Amino acid sequence: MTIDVAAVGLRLADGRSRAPAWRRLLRSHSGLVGILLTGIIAVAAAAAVLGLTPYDPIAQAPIDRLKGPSPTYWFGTDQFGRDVFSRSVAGVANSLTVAIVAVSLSAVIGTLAGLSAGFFGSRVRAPVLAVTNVLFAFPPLLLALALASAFARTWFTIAVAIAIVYIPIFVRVTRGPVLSLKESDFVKAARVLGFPTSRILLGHVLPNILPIVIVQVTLSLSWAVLTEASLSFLGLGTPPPAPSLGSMVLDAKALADLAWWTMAAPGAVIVTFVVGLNLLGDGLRDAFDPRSGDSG
Amino acid sequence: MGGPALLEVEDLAVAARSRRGDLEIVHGVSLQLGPGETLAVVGETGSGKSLTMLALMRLLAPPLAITRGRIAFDGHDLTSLSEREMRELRGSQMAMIYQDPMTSLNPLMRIGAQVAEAMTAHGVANSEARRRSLELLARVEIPDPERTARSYPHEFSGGMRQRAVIAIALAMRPRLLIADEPTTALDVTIQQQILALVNELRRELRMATIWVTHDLGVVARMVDRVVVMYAGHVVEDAPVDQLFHAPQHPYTRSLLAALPNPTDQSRPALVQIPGRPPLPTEMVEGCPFRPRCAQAREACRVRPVLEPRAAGRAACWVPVEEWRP
Ligand SMILES: Nc1ncnc2c1ncn2[C@@H]1O[C@H](COP(=O)(O)OP(=O)(O)OP(=O)(O)O)[C@@H](O)[C@H]1O
Ligand code: SF4
Ligand SMILES: [Mg+2]
Repeated sequence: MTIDVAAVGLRLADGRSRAPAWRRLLRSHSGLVGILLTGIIAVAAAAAVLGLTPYDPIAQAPIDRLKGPSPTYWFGTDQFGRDVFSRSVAGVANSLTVAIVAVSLSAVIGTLAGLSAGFFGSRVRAPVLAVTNVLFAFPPLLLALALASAFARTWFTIAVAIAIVYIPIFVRVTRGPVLSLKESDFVKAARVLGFPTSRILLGHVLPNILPIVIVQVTLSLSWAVLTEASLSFLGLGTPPPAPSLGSMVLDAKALADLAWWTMAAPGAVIVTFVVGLNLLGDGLRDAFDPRSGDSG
Repeated sequence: MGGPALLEVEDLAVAARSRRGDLEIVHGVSLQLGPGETLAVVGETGSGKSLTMLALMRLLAPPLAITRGRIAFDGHDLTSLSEREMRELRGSQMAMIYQDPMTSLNPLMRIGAQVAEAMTAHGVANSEARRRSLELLARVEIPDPERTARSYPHEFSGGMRQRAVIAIALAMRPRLLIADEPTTALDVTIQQQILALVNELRRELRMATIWVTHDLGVVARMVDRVVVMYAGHVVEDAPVDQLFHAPQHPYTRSLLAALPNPTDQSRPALVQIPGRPPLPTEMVEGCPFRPRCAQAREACRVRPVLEPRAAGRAACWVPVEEWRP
């Protein structure tokens, strides 16, 4: 999935002449459902971080092994008697931490690189784009795999691996708009007024591409959660015994015939979150798009 | 004129550079401007007016570049200043307003903040800049500055935006203002208001001003001298009265003939000059105006140079007395 940059576009010139973007977001169906789904997951993850899960996600209870869903264990227990619901919620918190750190890193680095590649001459542009193209040529999962296996396997290594994979996406979506903004009259006017380049870039160009970055951050978060889950599934993600959605699915695979619920809960959480973020991303894109109708 | 010039441009050439060589577009322009003096630069579209002005501000973007010449401004040799020194002059000593006020403001920034930024970028303290921005908005006759300072550009009409652009350009009280067709995108009535406003501010701030236009009629009343450009050359430079009453170059005469004149019914309005100016890629041997010139003769196969003529300068081999009617 790629973002239609032209649609998010630069025609923000009249973007404020209608309802503000957040209000249009709340009025659109995809935006509203997206906020709801991501909100539920985010609240659950926050609760898990605060230790508010019904059970300790890593506490084992050998007598309660492989219990099906019940009022005591809403989503059942796994082969060590750990509460699947608590583990799923704690798992999404872990996955989300990795995803947020990863996407923040790639958004900041990628956007700055996109700004420079779009704004400066070929002496800056050429090396930035060369590196971007090399990173882009790697299959994301493979690069993350290589990095995750080359360095110590901590959650931060995983985050950095995912961040590197996503940097090129931010370079790509920002560079085009920066190129056209560079030619826009108000950026030229800023040069005529003797503004330093840093002020022009950060004070005038960056705010105008921020909507594009925000939409991309939303979508990238969902991919990053998936990538983290995939890495954990392959045994290269968040190290055990910390719960991770991917490793839970991996464990559940072996138990699929015995205890389907161990698969259902983490799977449902992943799907809810990814679908939620994508709907939110769509909603944001429409809300920022000056061409879209007011009702969204 | 008299006294030391504020701006002195000598043999300024602008070219589009490429691996296959330079394509010269502005061919050695010379002009002077005293402090507080007002100059109009006129010429058909494509004659290189805007490029010359951008070159003066050292704002040409590649592949365009200054290939020759000297620009002296207020004692500085602009062609040898560093980009940093140039930046300090831009916006504080030299300002520019241009065509499209609809797009020359940042859509995401409040008007007041944009006026203030023109000052803070040149070292004025925030509080001082804020106070002065309200004064400036009032000075360019924007109603209720306290409130309008908080508006975004889209809430302004074209005329209001151009007023805001003017406030921004004049915020640092520059010594030179370049106005590159600042009214072409506006309604006729608003054009007159904006011209009058800039003219007033120019006098008040004793700013030297260059008006760039292809409409000689519009600025005739407000300038001291006129420079006529044709295909990247200055062909005539004369005091405004002389230019209108005794043009020294056949091209100037054709431009004047093309002016609509509401008081003189005997002259048909809008005589078109036949043909078109040569493109930068088309080499014309000798005088660039020769293919369209009613006075052309054998001598014109050699390129004329800008020479003193009456109270100004002109680039033509044939003296006015020998012109055919
Ligand atoms: N990058 C470029 N490469 C080649 N030619 C260029 C380039 N930029 C501008 N030109 C040419 O330079 C010439 C002069 O342009 P300029 O904008 O200075 O004209 P002007 O007198 O300001 O015209 P107008 O009245 O339409 O504003 C034009 O013929 C234009 O096509
Ligand atoms: S030099 Fe010759 S061709 Fe050129 S303007 Fe004078 S008379 Fe015309
Ligand atoms: Mg022009």
